[in-house]
Amino acid sequence: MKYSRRLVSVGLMAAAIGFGPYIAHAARPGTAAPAFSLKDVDGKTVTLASLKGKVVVIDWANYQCPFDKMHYESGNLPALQKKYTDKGVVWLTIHSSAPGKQGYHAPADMKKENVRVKNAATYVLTDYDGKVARAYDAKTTPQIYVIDKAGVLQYNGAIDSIPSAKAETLAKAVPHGANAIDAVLAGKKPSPAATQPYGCNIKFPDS
Amino acid sequence: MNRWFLSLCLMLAALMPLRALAAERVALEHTTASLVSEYSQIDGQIAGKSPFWVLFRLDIQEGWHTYWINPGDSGLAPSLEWDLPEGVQAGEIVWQPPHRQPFGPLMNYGYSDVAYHLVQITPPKEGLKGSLPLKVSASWLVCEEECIPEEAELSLTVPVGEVSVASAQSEDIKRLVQTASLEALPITELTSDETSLTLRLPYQGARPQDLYIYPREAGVIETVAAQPFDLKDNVLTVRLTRGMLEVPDAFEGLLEVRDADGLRHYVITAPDVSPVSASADVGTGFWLILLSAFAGGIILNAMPCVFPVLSLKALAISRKAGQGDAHIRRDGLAYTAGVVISFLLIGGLFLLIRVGGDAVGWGFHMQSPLVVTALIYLLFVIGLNLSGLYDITLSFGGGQSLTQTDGWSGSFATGALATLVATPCTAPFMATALGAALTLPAIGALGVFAALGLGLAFPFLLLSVFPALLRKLPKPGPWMETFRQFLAFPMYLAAVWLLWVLGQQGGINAAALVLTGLVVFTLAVWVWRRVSGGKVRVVMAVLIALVSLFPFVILARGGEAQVENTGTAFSTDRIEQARASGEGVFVYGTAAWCITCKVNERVALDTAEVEAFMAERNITVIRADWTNADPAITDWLAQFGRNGVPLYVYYPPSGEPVVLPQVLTPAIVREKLS
Repeated sequence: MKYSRRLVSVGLMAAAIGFGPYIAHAARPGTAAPAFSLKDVDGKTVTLASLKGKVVVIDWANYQCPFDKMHYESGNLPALQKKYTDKGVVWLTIHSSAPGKQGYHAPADMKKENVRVKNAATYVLTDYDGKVARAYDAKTTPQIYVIDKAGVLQYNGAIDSIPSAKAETLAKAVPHGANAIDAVLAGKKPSPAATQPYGCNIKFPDS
Repeated sequence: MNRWFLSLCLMLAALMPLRALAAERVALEHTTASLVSEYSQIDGQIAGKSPFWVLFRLDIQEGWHTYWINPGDSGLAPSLEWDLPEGVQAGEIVWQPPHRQPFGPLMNYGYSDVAYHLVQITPPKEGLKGSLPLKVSASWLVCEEECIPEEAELSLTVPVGEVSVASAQSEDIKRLVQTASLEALPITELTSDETSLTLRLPYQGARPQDLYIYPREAGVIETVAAQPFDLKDNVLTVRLTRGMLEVPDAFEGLLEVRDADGLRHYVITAPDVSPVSASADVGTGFWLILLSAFAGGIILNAMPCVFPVLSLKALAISRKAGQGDAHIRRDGLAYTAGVVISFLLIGGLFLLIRVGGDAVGWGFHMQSPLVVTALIYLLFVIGLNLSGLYDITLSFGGGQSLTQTDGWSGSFATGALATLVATPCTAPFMATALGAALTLPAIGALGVFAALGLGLAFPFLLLSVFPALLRKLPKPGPWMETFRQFLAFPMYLAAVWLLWVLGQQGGINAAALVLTGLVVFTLAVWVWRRVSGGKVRVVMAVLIALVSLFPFVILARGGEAQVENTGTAFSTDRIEQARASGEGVFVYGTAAWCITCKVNERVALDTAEVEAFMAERNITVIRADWTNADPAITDWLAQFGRNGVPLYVYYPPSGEPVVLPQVLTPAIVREKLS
């Protein structure tokens, strides 16, 4: 039977090469948004579960990344945060820069940074070990996620259509992120539901 | 405080990118940008007829890098905005093959040290006079771990004269044009499912030691995932893990190959037939697929596995030459229905299994020794019937009932049988259609199966719709009995072939078992014919026939016994306990239906080598079997951002857990667990 087992395994191998492994991707629109529990800059614990029933928007941020700087300091992101929190959206800014890396600030300093960039999110959360970023397969800052009231991820991707760190491009760009939030607020599926995010890579801890 | 200061500087630097004055060469903080031309003087007469090259060059500070057209998971490709005299055209950037720059779970594609961007300049048709000023606003992102946008205005004036004069950089530019002009390999087949993207390319040469495909569009693949490949008969098959975005219709990219001759690059270009991606709209691509499925079905008629059954059908149909056209037509339709419905059933099963999360291929049911055994019995029994050993009308085409009015059910059954035996065969065109069917929505996939069936049934359907064709066949007569008996032999041969398949699956024991079953079945037939005495005869024959089915029971049991069960059952407490006692823990997520998991277990985890390695290091092995839903395991998978198996995680006695790749070898396991 040993021989036949080898044959079977060769066959299986061929099948696996031919048809691919069964792995499903986290953070694909249409799947449940991965649960998380993170502390905000005031030490308050925020869980995704506690936000069920509300539309949740996440922007992954690193205030020192040129792309985030452009979107924050041009007023683009603070305006979106203000506009949509006024409409009942829970906006979370998540910082995943590891200690010692660009964009890392201890909670107290982060609070000052929030004021500086005029962050108007509901909560600013810290994910210093990058675990939530990994669970969301977040790659860049900025990167936008929109989660509907049922906790299903509806949008994952770029904030807009023109990869750029220059504010002049804002007016020409299609605001994919804002369009997605509008769609989800209206109970529709965003289109596109996924785009390639652009920006700086997330500063994960050295492994 | 220091960090604050640094951040401040970086902020200032980014707020006020150093906008240098226009020059041929501009030195910035992390890069030096320059613009050079192939010619130091250009011939004003021939200018319009021959474009020439300029080079935008970035010399990059050590440890920093810039990006390719697809920057990978983050970053940004340089952009050039030209300001040229009227009538002068600048082409797109012609890129040099990039390098990979891994950053933890992310990967970038780009250049370190120096990045070359070739651009072709086309002067106006009417030629040039005086001089040709070339101006460009360039902006690019340069990153170490942090990213800084830089930009510069570069300008270069090429004097126009009587002759063209090569510049000092002309040789370098020629060399770069060479390294950017890559041999193109057309993708012959591109299939994708939910998670992977498989490419096939014609490839001459030895098996590469290593390769990597850089897609031209970002987000299409997981950049850091392994790209397993296989080279067989000059066809290179590479499997990529899909990223978040849809696979573009025209998938393009670069193939980097490392072998004994060193590193080489090829351009890979989209296949001729537009591929169908997972949620592609049903469009023109779909009709092409249906067409190739239909063509594949027609060709299937000539394949060795179908031929014996079809000869029967031919026989049956030739008997009908004398009958009414309406009758023949009904018969042809019944046969077609038999084929198409059987294909749809197989297709439905295919889709159900796909929903279950397993990966299946054409003829997947042949992987089951039980199905193979059932086919052996069927072919053997039909063979006995054709040989005239018994007269039970099986209506499979050779029997009497075909001449009777209820012949349609026989035709239907012939269709079903033809489909069943056809499945192990693949005809040209079919592979593409089936590959696509795997990725289409359910309705589309069933459409492909129906088209295949229609193709298989088509020749007979044609005969029955135009019965005049039938009259051209030989007239029925005693020759038909001889022909019928002769046809038993292809049946037996087909059974022998299937026995060989079974032997591969279950070994010599399984083959012997099934052969014994066939002999016992023949005994049942013999009893039926020879023993007299009404009920006793029937009971005896049926009993013996039942006994002849015992191989099924044994084979079915054997299938279960093969499931391995190494490792302790999963629970988060167990992981904690083992870690608390200072032991390393290896947890593997698996499921009976997960082919990759099983391959990894057979190839790596269940080998003596790895088992000894685990024992030696005192590593607790925990098996997270996800065959059936298990919320604890689902949560555990989610911790690592997964919602599927396989997942292999090693928890060292202290420190962060290590996630192993999806495809394992004993060497990988040893390396990651050390």
